[in-house]
Amino acid sequence: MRSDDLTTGQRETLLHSEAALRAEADELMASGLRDVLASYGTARGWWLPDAFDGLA
Amino acid sequence: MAWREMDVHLVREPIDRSAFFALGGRVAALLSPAHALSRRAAWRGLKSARGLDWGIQLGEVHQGGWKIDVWATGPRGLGRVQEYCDAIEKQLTESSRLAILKIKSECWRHPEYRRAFSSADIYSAVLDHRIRSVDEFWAHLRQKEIVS
Repeated sequence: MRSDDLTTGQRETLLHSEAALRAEADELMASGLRDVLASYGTARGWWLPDAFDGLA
Repeated sequence: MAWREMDVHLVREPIDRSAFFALGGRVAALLSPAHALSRRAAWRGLKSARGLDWGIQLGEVHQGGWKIDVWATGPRGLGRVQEYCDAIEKQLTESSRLAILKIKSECWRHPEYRRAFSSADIYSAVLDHRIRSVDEFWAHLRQKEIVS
């Protein structure tokens, strides 16, 4: 099935899964990892396909 | 659902090997089993063209565990990565975003994912070759002789 043919429900499921992973990443960083990483240097993070800037 | 992976680039010039390995100790202490419950951390320190890297694995990635690659790079190294990410972001449309998510959701458990092919092949297939389905993606990889 081509992505153009996805139903509304299938589209929402994919986008919801992506948002859930972003929230997990935010939580991981907020657990203290952000501060630990920043102790070495200026931190930037990516989570493709979208730019992810959870360290900002 | 997709492979839980995040690349983090830490910029410091010059790269400080001792400080970076000390950082690995602090991350290990933070993500200890007491903090991470049943998670386990596997580590590797390596030097590559992009600089030093800590590969942090929280659980089995094929079962949904996080993989966090922490890179120690200089401004030039960061610039190359930033350029690549920006180029992808500029090309994203609703259709291409959904195609990428759809293909990733169906490929991330494939045994050859991250071996014979990676997320970069998915981005290229969708953004450069206008591929929009998993079947088209497999045909694309076979045509490039990436998979048989």
